[in-house]
Amino acid sequence: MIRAVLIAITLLFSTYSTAQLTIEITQGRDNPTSIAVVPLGWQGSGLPKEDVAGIIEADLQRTGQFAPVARGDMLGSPQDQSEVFFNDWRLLNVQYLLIGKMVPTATGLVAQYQLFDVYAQQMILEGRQLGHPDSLRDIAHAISDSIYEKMTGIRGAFSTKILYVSAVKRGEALYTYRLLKADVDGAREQVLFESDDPILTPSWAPDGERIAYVSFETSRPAIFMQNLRTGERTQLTNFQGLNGAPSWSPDGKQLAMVLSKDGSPDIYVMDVETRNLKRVTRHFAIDTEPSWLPDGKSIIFTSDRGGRPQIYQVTLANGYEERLTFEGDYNARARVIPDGSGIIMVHRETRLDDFHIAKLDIDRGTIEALTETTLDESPSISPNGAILLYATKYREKGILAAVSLDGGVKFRLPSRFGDVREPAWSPFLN
Amino acid sequence: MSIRCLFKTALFFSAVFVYSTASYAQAPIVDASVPSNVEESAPAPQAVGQQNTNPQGELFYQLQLLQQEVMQLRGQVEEQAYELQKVKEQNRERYIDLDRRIGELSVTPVATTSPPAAAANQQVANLPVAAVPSTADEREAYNAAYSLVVSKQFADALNAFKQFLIDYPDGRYAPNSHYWMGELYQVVVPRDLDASREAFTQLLNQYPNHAKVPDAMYKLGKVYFEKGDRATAKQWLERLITEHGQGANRSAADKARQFINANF
Repeated sequence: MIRAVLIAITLLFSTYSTAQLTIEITQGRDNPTSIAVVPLGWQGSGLPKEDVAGIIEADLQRTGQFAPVARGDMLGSPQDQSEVFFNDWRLLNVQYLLIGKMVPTATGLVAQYQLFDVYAQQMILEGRQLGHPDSLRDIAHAISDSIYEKMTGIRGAFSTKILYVSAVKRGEALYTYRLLKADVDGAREQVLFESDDPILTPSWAPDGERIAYVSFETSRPAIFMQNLRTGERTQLTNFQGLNGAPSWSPDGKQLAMVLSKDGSPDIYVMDVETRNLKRVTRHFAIDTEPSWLPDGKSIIFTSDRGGRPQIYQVTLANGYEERLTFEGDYNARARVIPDGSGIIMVHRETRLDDFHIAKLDIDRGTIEALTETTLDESPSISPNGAILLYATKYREKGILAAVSLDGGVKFRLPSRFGDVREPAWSPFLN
Repeated sequence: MSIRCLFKTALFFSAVFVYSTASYAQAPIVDASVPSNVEESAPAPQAVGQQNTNPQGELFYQLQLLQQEVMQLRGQVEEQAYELQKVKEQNRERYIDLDRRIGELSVTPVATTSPPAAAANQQVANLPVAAVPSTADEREAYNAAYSLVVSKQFADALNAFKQFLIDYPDGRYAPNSHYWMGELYQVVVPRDLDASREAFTQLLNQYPNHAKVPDAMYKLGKVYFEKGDRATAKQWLERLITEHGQGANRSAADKARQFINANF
């Protein structure tokens, strides 16, 4: 009862705490595109609450594909096309130039922005972004999204969110576990749920509004669903044994999960509306970590039925099971790349190697390691399939790190307090 | 729950189980009518002495061992089935390659030497295979693809070279196309080192005397290096130095020397 009250209080007061995650880029690309993001003009009242241009710069820099020009080097700060002198920018070897201004209107704050190709001396993108003076970060990320999409042809994922779990030591064998939500750059961290008992495997529903996770608050692992808009929490399972690894189906109506109520851990699918359960696998070995294919017709999962953990795929309609991984002594926690071209998983080559995040190309059957860190786990792919987050150890601390799906760009998001793990990247939210 | 944890736990439990068959002896169910096969079936020494009174625990232990065994065997069967499938595919590819090369062999002499009259019929039969569309078209297609490389439209260039090789698989510029595809697979997004390796290897296998061979060897060595296969990388670079280390065409070999000095 006390706990329930605490939870309610947590939810009520889950205001934005200061950003706990900071970002360190560890590896970028060889020839990033240079772009100048001129500080946006401000016509609102008072001073802007955020440095919008700075946020855009950081967004673009994090992709490794762009190199923002230092603000001190800029020879001017144009806000209109008429104020742009291309020769100035060409001198700085700038390839692209972003200018804009934020203007208050009757419907809210409007950011007007223009992107120029400096060599061609042409405007290649013009946009307006409506927002609120208190949520300048949303405006900044939306502008980053449109620039990224214009330049790469890939939808930007800067406006999406991430979930992760932090554990802060309070005393001897005492921890405070927090389920946190933040922007992808680690800003605006927000506590969704706090507990003295472990929280595991958060997972986003495709609607971006509901999440599911495992909490040990009832003394045994149980799967909970939480509505992010209303804050309402629902306990979905309370079976004997293991209740774990919830994963939402692409249509958001079903939840794949692991239950050991009938003996060994097996994969089940629950209809979220009716709570009806369907057993998907039946094997005396351990079947766990389900993840849906984009078409919603198959599930991939980890099983040690072949003596060692490997990835299998099961077709829901007929129960046909097929092994997907044959290289390496350990393959687990697979997630499907959004375009279905491959899967990302935790991979170990031999017993003597470290655990890395690797990509399996489904057509070719080849496995490519993406990370060089050790003890890597829990990969979660961005909805545009460009980058993935994973949990790893850095200086004896659990941290989150990211790597692009081609392995070219890497950065870390260390937390200033305690250990963080179990990242989950949201779907597109707009 | 993290699977690593889970599997560790499972291992732990099975280990505990092995050592705890004894504790099952406390279960009061004793069926005297079932003869116990302790001597033949229970090699675990720590359980000896208790098993006479514990047929159920023994049975459960046997079941666990059997399950472990089945899992290992299943793993082996799955892996061998996979290997077999791979071997089949490789065999097929080799056969097609061989067939193509034999086909080439039976055509080439016809083109170079004036055939004896007896072979004339065969020459006619082979003509359609050897018929190559006019070389002007081929040059134009190649130049178009190459100009895409120059203008840095790498993905388009790659497709153009692929199409070129479909249209002119044995054309004059086919080796150059393989070379450029090898280069392009490394710069397109996402880059594909395996395909790049494949392209360079094809060039080296099919046109061992072509002018692009030294460069292709150098690039192939680097591809292996990037893929983490340092041994094969070094093999290729050293072979390049031995075979093309002298003479006018030695710039690739020089680069290989520098690369070896810097990285090995």
